[in-house]
Amino acid sequence: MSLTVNSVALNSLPSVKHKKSKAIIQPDVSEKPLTMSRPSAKLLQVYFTGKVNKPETILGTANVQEREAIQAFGKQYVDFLEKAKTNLSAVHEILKMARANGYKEFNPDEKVKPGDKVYFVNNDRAVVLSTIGNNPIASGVKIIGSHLDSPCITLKAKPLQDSEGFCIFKTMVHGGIKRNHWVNRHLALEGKVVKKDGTEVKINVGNKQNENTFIIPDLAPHVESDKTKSTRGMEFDAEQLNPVVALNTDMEGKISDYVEKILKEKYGIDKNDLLNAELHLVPAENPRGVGFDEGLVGAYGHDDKSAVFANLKAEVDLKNTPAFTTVSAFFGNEEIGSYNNYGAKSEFFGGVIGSLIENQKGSFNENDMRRAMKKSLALSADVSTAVDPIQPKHEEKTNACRLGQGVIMKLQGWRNSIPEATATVTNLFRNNDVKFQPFAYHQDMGGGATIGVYLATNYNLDVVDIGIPILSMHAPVEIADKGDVYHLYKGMKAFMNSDHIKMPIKKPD
Amino acid sequence: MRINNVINFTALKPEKLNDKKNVTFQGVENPSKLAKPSADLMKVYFTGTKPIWSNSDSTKKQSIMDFAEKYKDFLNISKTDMQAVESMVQRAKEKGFKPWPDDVPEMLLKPGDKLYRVNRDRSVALIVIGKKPLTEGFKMAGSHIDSPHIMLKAKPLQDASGGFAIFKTMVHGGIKAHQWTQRNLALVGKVVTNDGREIKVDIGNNPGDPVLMIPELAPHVDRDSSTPIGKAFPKEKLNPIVGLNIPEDESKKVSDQVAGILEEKYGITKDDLMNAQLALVPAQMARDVGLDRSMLSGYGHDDKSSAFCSMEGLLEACDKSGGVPERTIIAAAFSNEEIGSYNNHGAQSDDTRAMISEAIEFTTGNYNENLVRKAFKNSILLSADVSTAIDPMRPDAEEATNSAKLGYGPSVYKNGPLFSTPEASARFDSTQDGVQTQRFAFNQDKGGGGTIGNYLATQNNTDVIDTGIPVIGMHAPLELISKSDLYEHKESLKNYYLREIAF
Repeated sequence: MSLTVNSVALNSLPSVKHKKSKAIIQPDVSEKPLTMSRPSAKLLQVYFTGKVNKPETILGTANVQEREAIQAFGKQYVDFLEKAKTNLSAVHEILKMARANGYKEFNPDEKVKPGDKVYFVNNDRAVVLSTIGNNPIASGVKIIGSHLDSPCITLKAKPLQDSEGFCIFKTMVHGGIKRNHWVNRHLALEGKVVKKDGTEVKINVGNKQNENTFIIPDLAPHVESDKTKSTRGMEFDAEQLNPVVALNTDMEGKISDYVEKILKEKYGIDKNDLLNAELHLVPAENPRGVGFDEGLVGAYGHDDKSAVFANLKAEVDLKNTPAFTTVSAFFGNEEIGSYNNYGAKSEFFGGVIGSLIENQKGSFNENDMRRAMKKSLALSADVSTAVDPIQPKHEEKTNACRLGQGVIMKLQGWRNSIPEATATVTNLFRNNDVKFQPFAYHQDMGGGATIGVYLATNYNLDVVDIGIPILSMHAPVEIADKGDVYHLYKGMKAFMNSDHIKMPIKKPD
Repeated sequence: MRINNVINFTALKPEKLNDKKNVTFQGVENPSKLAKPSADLMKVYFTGTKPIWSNSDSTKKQSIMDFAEKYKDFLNISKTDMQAVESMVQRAKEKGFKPWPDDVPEMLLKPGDKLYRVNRDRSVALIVIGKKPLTEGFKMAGSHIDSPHIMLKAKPLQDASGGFAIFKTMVHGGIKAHQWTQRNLALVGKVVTNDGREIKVDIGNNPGDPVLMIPELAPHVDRDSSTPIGKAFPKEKLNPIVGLNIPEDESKKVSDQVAGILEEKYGITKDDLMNAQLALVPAQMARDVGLDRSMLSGYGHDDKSSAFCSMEGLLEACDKSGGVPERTIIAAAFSNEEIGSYNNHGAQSDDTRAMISEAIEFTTGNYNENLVRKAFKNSILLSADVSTAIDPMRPDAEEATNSAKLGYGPSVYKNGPLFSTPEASARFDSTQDGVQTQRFAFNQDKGGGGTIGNYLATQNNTDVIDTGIPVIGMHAPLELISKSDLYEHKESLKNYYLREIAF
């Protein structure tokens, strides 16, 4: 139903109403398009001399060969994104790829030797791949860390509820989202249920084209004129993000009973089994290209599967035995503070390095690991916010990052990394033609964290924060550039293949 | 001391509380009365307690003044964490300290060995091995050597309107932004070039040096006094001017000219600034304050006062015990406290535990994690950090009965169970005969802050006492302390190192 009797298009509505209803769902493009989208020429000139309005992007300047490489890589990346929406499915995909490339589960009873490829899994939710190098692990390792979880909506333990004749799922939010992004979206249900007898049931509904999806309904603008007064992004209570599950049945009793019956028939699970379940609602849409562009990809979970995939590819592509052991760590739960036994704060990671040292050395104590960590270098790979063409003022342009400009390095003070460590990485990138750009948040507007600082603090490691820039972070569809992901992969490969861990620093006399 | 995101316990409005008749603010009709430095209330706790100065004989008075002179010299060359590490290592070397070994030494460390242990040029510990094994308990005072400051972004050099070149910056720690404008600022730190050379930068601390300045508007053109002070000074505007003169070659920009100077003088390019740690710190030096010279103004009393006092206290305790203290004594100075003690050189770093683990391994040749646990469990550590103090003009910010006063000695935090158990603080007190201390708690509605104390306690399962001198104007470019508090703090730490805990 339209707002007007004649059911005309929104555009022809009286201007006041038009603005109000528009403000809910669209950015205020119409306000001041000219001044807002103009990249402050003066400031840009400093670093992009001569290219005020169109800085050179990776794909824009690539030769045919590199362009093909980026597109081939981009295709694999997009496939990965499609299959690896949740933490669980990402681990599944990583292990599939690792096994296909000769990785074996680490066995403490078998001595590892240079060139061996091993993996460690933790609770199906975190995984570490490692290629053993020629130098002993005690002389330091090269670590890359990223996270597998993306913001999503998770079912509560008693999700099935009746409301106004509908059956709905009661939910909770995983990670920091703008709630209005997640309503009126096709959502898929993914995860696992552990039954009373200990059998595990996998659930995956809505990701295939012909499958039904779940949708969190929103009110029509007609009945909710005061919504425009709410703070942006917070029009919804977290408790209102509940999708519609069923309405029609000829079965007697409650509609939720009917859904339970379907679950029983289809998956052999009953309501009580849902107490021991991890079920996530994720966008059902699959990645698509964006605009008239060869590089832009709109997809769910660039944060942080871009780094996951780049790291995974760099790791499995290691054909020669590296000088130093590589450790590619993929963690869960970053979006909720890296907690729990599969988050980056978990002892799990220390256990991995500890097991490897013990395996090589025959004995182990914590100080052995500490000495190894002191010689190691870690890259924490996670996305950063990029300059938005419509609302650029949320970034401080001189030190912000831009899509297509390459790998970002988060340089936000000593919390991130010390220059002695970052110099190793910039040196490596420069020598291997990896395009990179520094990044710092707008000091009065931005803020965010990643796993880097926990690795640095908990393991006394030198950590450098890298990643790719993206638009619309934490929305169901985020925008990234293939060229950036490819250069992230290139940078990681260069890091793994180099013959040293840290660049020697010449101290002043 | 770090600023916390203060949890607001006063979300319940007083009006609502008053609705319920059984809830009253006991005995206080008007809460604002409580906040005044009500002389009557203060008398209760300060009757008979005089300031340290009036309790001191002439020898002690002389020592107080002499100690302050030494401290001033230290403070003036220790504005950043890296500078403080340098000057503490320098002092340790003078006193015969040797560098900490990287791995288990062939000759195990023995009682009386004096060592310094540096972590990434940014944190440092002075360690004297004692007679008793570490597992029976050791003494450590932890302080921090980072102070709030403004630092440069990765691409700092930019052109701004008016033909100026500026530095784009970020803030380290919680500051009141307006205090940092129109100040002479020095630029201190290091740059690592692309080919791996480290270059020290120190501009503005010597009298002939140029300084940098963050400009502020004149009152004539800035008459809108209704803007809240936090909004009037956004952090992104805390950018100092670094150059004005237009280059002779008009195709070049002012920033190019400044870049040229950097290249010529230091051999660093604009690109090299990406791998740099450059801090803007007040160029002013510490000075005596008051016609009686009883106080000191200076940058970074928070928390170099504790770093200095723990170092000097440790050295004196070491001398007094004939060079071999009963227990292993440690003065540890960490960085990054002002941003949450994170990263590999903050107090939360595993490096803190590594230090004790290595100390056990290097003294006995034997080590496992449970020995470290035992060592921490048998120890009472100090987190030495400053507290706020009653400001004569705005005493309301403190709760007068349990706040700290300048000149009455170092404060021992009693800010709820987060900081220390009474068992631990009573044990600490047992080492403090003859030292005047005062208890301190924040105004529960207005204040809040943290130190490294609760990280040490939580991560290592040890007892921690928070103690430090009261400071007026904390986190300002110039902070104010009392010389007698400083001296008493050193005495307090010395006695902690020297005396056995009684029970």
